[in-house]
Amino acid sequence: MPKDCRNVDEMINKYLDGELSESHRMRFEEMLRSDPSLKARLDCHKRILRCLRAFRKIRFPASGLRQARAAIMHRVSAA
Amino acid sequence: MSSEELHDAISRCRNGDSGAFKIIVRAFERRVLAIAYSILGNSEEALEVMQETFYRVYKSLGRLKNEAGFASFVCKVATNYSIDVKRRRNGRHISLDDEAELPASVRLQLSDHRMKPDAVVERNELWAALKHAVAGLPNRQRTTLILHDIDGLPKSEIGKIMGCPQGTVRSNLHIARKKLQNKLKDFM
Repeated sequence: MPKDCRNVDEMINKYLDGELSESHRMRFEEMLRSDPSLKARLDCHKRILRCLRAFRKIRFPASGLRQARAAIMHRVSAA
Repeated sequence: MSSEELHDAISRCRNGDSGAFKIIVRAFERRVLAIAYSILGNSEEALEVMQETFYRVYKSLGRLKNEAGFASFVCKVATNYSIDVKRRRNGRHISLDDEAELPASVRLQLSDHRMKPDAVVERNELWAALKHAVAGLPNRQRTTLILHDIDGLPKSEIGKIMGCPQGTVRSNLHIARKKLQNKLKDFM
């Protein structure tokens, strides 16, 4: 485990964020292949990240969005 | 939006062509709404944040020195104003269920148990639980999580926005993710 990782979750976070060195990444991937519980923890982290990214795709009511855009342009042109 | 298009739109706005601001709004509105919605949990307030954020950004264009940091600047304004709105609620209960919704394709991706008969219910419950879990985080942890995991900003940019070292950003992110895991463990 890298010196700046105090536990497995920190290591998982670094792996997901692409912050592990090449040698630590390869070692971590070896551990994943041999440890199903670690793989399950990683999958859990991945799933939460996927859920969080869903916030980017929320659809807002079209009328509300139109009104907000119009209000912005009205305020901006009056500024 | 390319940096050239952004530079052109900002220049036109500075020269009095306020209509050019429409291009900027269209380019950044989804990011602003994602930030606001993830902090506030309802579309009405998120749309209010969108209006105020872009108005404040427009008023600041004359003072903007670093166009390369424009996206981070917009995110910072949206984040700070969303937190203000949340504070102003002052304990008032706001429903997190409203007209904003996830596209069906995204809802499907949220569940790994697609074959279960109650999968739709589970996905809806997961989405509701996620919104509550994010809304319940302390401000700095929530903001860090939103800027990094939802908006995709690098830790260095988040450190600048929040005025803290990257180590603090990393620590807040780690704690926030851990809390979400604990709160959502029944769905995992």
